[in-house]
Amino acid sequence: MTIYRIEIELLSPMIISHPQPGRVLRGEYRYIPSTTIKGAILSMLYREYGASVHEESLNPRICIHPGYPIFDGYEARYAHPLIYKCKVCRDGENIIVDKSILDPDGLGRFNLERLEPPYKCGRGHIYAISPLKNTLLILRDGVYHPVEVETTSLDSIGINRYLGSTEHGMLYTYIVVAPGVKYGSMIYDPDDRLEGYGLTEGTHRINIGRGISRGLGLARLRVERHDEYLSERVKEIMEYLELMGEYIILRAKSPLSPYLGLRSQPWDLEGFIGHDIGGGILIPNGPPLKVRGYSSYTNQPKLSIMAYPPGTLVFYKTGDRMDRVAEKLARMELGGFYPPYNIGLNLMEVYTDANRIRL
Amino acid sequence: MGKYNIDLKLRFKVRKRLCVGGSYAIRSRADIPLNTIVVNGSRKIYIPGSTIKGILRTSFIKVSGLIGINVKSFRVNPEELLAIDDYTARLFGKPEGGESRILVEPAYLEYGEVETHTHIAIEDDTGVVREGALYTIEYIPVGSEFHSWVRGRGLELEDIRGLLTAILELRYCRIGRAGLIDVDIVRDESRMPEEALKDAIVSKLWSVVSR
Repeated sequence: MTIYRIEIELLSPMIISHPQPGRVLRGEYRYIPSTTIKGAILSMLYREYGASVHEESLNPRICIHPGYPIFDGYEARYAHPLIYKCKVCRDGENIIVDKSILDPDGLGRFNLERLEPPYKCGRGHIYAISPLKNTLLILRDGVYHPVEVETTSLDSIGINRYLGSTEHGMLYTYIVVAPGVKYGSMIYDPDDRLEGYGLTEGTHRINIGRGISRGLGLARLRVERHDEYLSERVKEIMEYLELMGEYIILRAKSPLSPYLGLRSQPWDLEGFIGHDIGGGILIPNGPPLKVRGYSSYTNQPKLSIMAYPPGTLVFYKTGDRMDRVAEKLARMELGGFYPPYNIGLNLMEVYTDANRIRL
Repeated sequence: MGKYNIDLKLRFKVRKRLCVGGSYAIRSRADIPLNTIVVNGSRKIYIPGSTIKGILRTSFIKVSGLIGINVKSFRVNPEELLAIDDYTARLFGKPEGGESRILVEPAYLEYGEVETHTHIAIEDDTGVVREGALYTIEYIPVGSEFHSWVRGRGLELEDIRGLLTAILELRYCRIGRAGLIDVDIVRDESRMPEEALKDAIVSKLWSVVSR
């Protein structure tokens, strides 16, 4: 088993497109889906080293986490549904976290059916609170800060090969992620397949997203083994459980679709975690989204499925020993909480931000 | 037949002032500015990979007859290319599944010494300036150099011969708005497999087009 920490630094503009009409192409840029990163890495290993990556396509065992942008050394995350902003307060001071999820007493009183956003901020501004939808945040010095990925617009034309002038009807606009943006992610390789394929620690060149043969999506991939990851993470989760008692909040890093569907609540975890754990109540971070993909191996679009978006929260309660639960949770964070595994879905993390948020 | 991976660092020298146009005049306020992009907070001139791949593909089509390759279409429109399955499409790719075996990287230049020139249009019948036809264009000056990478994956010898011939044809090639460039390969930084260089044609082309 190997755990890698990876960093993707864009060297040219990147576009991971959504389907859309017309000639304006824009895409997801706030994070890079797991399947996109996996496809880019496996394609690189196939192209450069002739690796037999088909076995991974047929029997996926490698779990690659979504790539989230890095700002000043902090990896961003989507704001979850219980984070709000005050429209009156200045930037940097206007992010509000629902305090009921930061301590066990608050969680004990927490009632999903009577969920009420705060009506005033800490400075007393009333009725100026709004949710933070689709916003990326970093947690720095105990406070959340909103961040934006740098994007730019590229206009492109076609040139008629006979005339040397612009081809009629060929004007495209791309909304792309600018070069220089960095994304952080993790790879969990339980069978050490990647080493066999030729992936080594150090720097590699990969291509991500659309238009790679035309210079888009060129990136530098830095790979580092993270052998101490599990022990460090178990410690963080133990600290969280000591703070929160029997309550566990999981935050989705990837879209959630257990068994490829939007399961009704509660979401049972006891069968997977093997310990006394109940609950499984969900607060979605927005309406369900359609997860699409494209296989560069078959050159066909993949099956699209409905999923809850990243940032969704799931609440559990455990009666078991903290150390045993912490170890199991840390392992499930790596490989996914629900099937299907290793295809970029159902990746969640314990909300250990609670350890560091300044009240 | 063997398959080869090659990595060619192309050196472009500007022989006639060059403008690969952009949409937004950030600093110069020229009517037709250079294409620029911000990289890590610093603005750079950006020559898209699609521009370089485009002139390479056009050059390949031009020389294809010399090397015995039959090209069926010179079209650029994606809808028209869908139906084409010729050598060029198999090498350079086509929409919806025709993967390109040639990957071209963009070029960046420092936004330093650029020139802005004023142009007019002359009426053919009167020989005087057309009213209102006064416009400015931003240029990369003559003598400037920039670099890009062309990477070939899974190429056969015939592909390499064609690619090197196409790069040779890029001498004094038109690019952008009436610019002219000269192109060669930076030999010391490029990767051409020894096995491929055993081919007489590849070896000859390599000796001419790389410096």
